[in-house]
Amino acid sequence: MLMSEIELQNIGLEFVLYRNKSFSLREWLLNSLAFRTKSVETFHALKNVSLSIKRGERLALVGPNGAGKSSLLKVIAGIYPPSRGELKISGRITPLIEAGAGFHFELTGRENLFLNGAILGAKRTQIVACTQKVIDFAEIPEHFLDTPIKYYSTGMRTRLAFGIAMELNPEIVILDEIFANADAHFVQKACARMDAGNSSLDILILVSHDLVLARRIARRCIWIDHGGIVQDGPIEAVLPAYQKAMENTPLPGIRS
Amino acid sequence: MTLIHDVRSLYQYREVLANLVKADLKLRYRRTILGYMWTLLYPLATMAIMTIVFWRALGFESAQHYIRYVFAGLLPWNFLMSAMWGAGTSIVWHEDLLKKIYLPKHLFPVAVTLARFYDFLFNFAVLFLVIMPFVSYRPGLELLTLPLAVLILLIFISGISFGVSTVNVYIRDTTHLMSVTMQLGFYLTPIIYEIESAKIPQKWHFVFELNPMTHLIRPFQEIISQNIVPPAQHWAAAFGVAIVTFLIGHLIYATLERKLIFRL
Repeated sequence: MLMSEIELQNIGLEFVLYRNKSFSLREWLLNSLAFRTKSVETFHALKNVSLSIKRGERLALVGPNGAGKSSLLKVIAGIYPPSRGELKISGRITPLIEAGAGFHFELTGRENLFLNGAILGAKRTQIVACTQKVIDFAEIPEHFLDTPIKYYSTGMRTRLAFGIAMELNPEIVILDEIFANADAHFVQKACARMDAGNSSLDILILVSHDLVLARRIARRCIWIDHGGIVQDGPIEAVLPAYQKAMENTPLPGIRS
Repeated sequence: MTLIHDVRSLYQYREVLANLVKADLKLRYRRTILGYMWTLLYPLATMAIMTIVFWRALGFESAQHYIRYVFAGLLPWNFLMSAMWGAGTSIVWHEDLLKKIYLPKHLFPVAVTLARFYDFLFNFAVLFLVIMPFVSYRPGLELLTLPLAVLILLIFISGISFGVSTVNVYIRDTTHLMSVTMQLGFYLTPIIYEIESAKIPQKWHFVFELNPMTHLIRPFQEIISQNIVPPAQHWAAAFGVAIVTFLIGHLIYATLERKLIFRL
């Protein structure tokens, strides 16, 4: 069996910021008439990020909003091609980015099970085999199963998404704030599921603002800000430093 | 070769593709009373209207012959229209999905095209069986060449789908522009009239020669309405137009695909 591993070398990610994402004739005319030569600017979402994650690691990514956490996850998941640097990944990635990602809202829970399972690389027979387990784990009431997902609560969608992902023998799991809408009962259950030693889970990457949860799940922590790594090390060392820095950040816009 | 790579990834993601096609077919008529019947009613209504309004004016010998002629051109045209519409918005509409998990982008236009192709085949088969007995149609061996005409049409439309789905991500005017041009295109393609019997002056014939759809529809019309095997030069024209369109459409996709995600 192949060992799951993630290797990033000097990864840079740049976004071109368009005033409006697609080209508009009116804007182009207005801009050229006003002799504004450049209507785009570059935003550096990630700058020179190098890191390596080995099999068996459980990692928490922390950082303020807009620090580049999600961008980093999306580069690892193959969603964003990096602008520079090298990315080496072995292992199958199961990204759970935001609740209910990868669902088609008009389709029913059961239909989504098949769509989502297929997206995660499972065969139809494999999905049929684990359907009952997923439903039991996600605690979806029977009569909801053939109802379009759009009528589900956010928590229900999260439970279903997590349930499918965990049943399909994931190797590298990326969790981006997916527990934000889940209740304590489910978070407990999910943590227990991830702790259960029988799974194929090799690498877990968690992004969360819930530092208690981060401490519960991860052993390594990477603190990111302004698109770069501030600190990388054992969670007991990095989290307190990060928390301290956050507390000492001035609060612009609030007069004291 | 990116083309081989893209075909291979379609195979690799075939389960996703199957799910997307199924979802498309299911969702379009979910919660409608007539359901899938709508795909049949729409061309049937168009054909009825065209026949009542035009057949005499356009110099056809009989209403039956006119119905056969319109049938042959209208169904491929509807396939093109519906696939173009679906493909145009296919990548843009799946923005949510594409930003959260890696998937080859061309799964979406291909899925829409296949779903519309299914509609086309179903329509064609059912309407053929329903209409042809009433329009004094005598099929001959030329009917055996129909699958080739269908295949060529599918290649052409796939190319269009690749192109419009990609371009619409960058230039969202594409779908609006499409609706205008296609309206004009319908009248510039000999579907409800025949170039000869409508007595269109020779100096305007170049318009039809330049219109790719003229060449793609012609084998259908020759097989179904004239009961002849299309001549080799007509096959060659149709095939040439289809291949060139496919390669251009795919080239547009292959060139812009990598940066697509940043434009969604």
